[in-house]
Amino acid sequence: MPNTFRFDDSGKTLHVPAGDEIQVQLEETPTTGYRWQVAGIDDGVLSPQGSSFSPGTAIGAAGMRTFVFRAERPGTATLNLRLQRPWEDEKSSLKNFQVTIIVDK
Amino acid sequence: MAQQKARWVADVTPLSHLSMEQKKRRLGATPPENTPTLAERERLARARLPFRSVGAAGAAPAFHPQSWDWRNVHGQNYITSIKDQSSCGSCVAFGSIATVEGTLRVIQQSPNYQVDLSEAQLFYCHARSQGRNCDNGWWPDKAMQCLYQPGVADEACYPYTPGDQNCTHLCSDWQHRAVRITGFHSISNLDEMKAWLSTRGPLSTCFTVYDDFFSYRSGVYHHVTGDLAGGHCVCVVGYDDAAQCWICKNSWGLGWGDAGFFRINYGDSGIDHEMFAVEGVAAIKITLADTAIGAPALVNINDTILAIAWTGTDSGHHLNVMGSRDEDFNFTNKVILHETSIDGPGFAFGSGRAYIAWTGTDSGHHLNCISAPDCQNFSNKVTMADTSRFGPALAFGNNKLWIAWVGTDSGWSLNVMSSVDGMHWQDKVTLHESSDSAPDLVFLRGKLYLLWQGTDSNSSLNILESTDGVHWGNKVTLHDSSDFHPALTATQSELILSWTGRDSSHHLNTLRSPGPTNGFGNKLVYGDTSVAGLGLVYFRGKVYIAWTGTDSGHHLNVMKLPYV
Repeated sequence: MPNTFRFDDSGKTLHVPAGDEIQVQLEETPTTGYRWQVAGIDDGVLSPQGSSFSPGTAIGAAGMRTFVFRAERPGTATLNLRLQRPWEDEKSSLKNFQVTIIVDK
Repeated sequence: MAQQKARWVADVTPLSHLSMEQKKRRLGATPPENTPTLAERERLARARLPFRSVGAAGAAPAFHPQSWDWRNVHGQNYITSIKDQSSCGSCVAFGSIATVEGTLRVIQQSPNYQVDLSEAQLFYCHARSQGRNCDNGWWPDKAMQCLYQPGVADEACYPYTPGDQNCTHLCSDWQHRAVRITGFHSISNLDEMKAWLSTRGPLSTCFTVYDDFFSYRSGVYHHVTGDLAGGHCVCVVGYDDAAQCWICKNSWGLGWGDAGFFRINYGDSGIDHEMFAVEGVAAIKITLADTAIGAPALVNINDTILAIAWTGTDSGHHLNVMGSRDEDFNFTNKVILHETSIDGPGFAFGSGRAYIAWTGTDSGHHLNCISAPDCQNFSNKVTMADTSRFGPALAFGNNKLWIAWVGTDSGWSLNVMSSVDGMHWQDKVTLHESSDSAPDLVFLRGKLYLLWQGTDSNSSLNILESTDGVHWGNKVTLHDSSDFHPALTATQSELILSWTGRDSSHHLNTLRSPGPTNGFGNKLVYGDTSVAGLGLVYFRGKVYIAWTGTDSGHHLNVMKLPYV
């Protein structure tokens, strides 16, 4: 089972074993223009594996954005995600998600 | 983009995506009620492409031009300003309302027509009542149905802010401010879409948004790369056969795309699978292009024509008349009379003739009356010996025409007299009442009622009744007051009173009564204001109110009231 984190986990410090995958699931309504973006990740400890989006049903509906990271080697990494419009600056971001990941041996 | 021969330019965004392997998860939306999924819409739209009758290489069919853009029709822009839905999935409300606003401007033939409808009411009230919210979105046909019934009020009634709300911010008089569309239908034929766009107004549509759409800056968008992000609704404001694209208004603010607009390839992302057309807009309120001094007057001509008369703001203050044969304020056949007035006129219809009375601009301010069988060819003018400080009031009942006015005597006395033909006047009575502005008269069930603004310190409204126009009684002084000419009309069973309040903005007020001695109903206060008095009439089962606005131009306004 992958380690899955959600918005309520923001601010937490989490331990994962090296080699595991980490999933971050965040609700997103892309058709508002606001999308979760990876704003910061400590290179080396975590590596991004991609993201996918599961859209909602109706026009304008929210869906679930899932980011996947791999715990590459032991160490501490801060993972920072930001909900903002790509054409606007970071001051316009609506929400931030940040977790500290400690990758254990 | 270059490798894909893209016809559009992408923006450089402040945040760069990290290099990620994109997973193809085109789950697609699964709409209820037998509507196609986003994927099905796209497939059907693409499938029509080879069979298009219109292309860059061929001549356009005669029934629509090769291009159209409601932002530039002979230099005029009929599209309202770019809005921003922000973080709420309310695009259906924004795309639909943009279409209604543009259509209303086209119908009014007025690119500057002031219209700004409430997306908040459409989404946080109407969509919410169907279980929809910022997270689960909506459907365009449902939005159109709500715009048809019960309609949507103006933006000031419920200003938009992003985030789910329970409709409590909706103004209390929204029903009197609501705009309704007269009908809508979907169009799935491309030539019909273009024909509608080039003659009737904008359209609303929904399409599939992919990741690359967010970075669109200019050119003709077509899906090149990226995952499906969801279904999105916008307003189509034009097309261009040479560029093979639709021109659309988005709701992501001015900072996105081409100043909020975008162009998209025919057939791309399901954009033209189906579009929604607004057939008409049943205005509950209209601001006319005409301007007035004093109060306008309304009259019902055989339940066939809703006519309005007013004194123009031209240097001579000429009298004007025009009529609407429907309930949607399509006023036509304006007549500018040679006569001039110091104030708003009185207006009445009876025995097959329309009568206008006014206070002349002569030095003595004499009363005058003129009539016409058709509201067009006025004749039989008489100038009376009596003089008035303000405009007179006219009413028809008991086979007589009645006139009431404020005399030029030192006591500002109210006077009433009658005539059978509008030329010969008799039975004048001077009441022991005085008024600070023009009075109003109406007939209900064989009784004549007179409403006026008293000269007491509170400027209280007063009403008197009479069966013969000579003997008056049952005076009622209301708790309400006004600084301007009040108005009076009658439905089949009750009186309707209206006046501009003495609040700082002079808001319009209405009150209904089965008869002054039988009490009054609840007072309604409207969002509109006037400092020039108003006119009322009962027409085809509805009460209409007309007033001179407080805008700098003093434009005339007409509104349909909810009374039946």
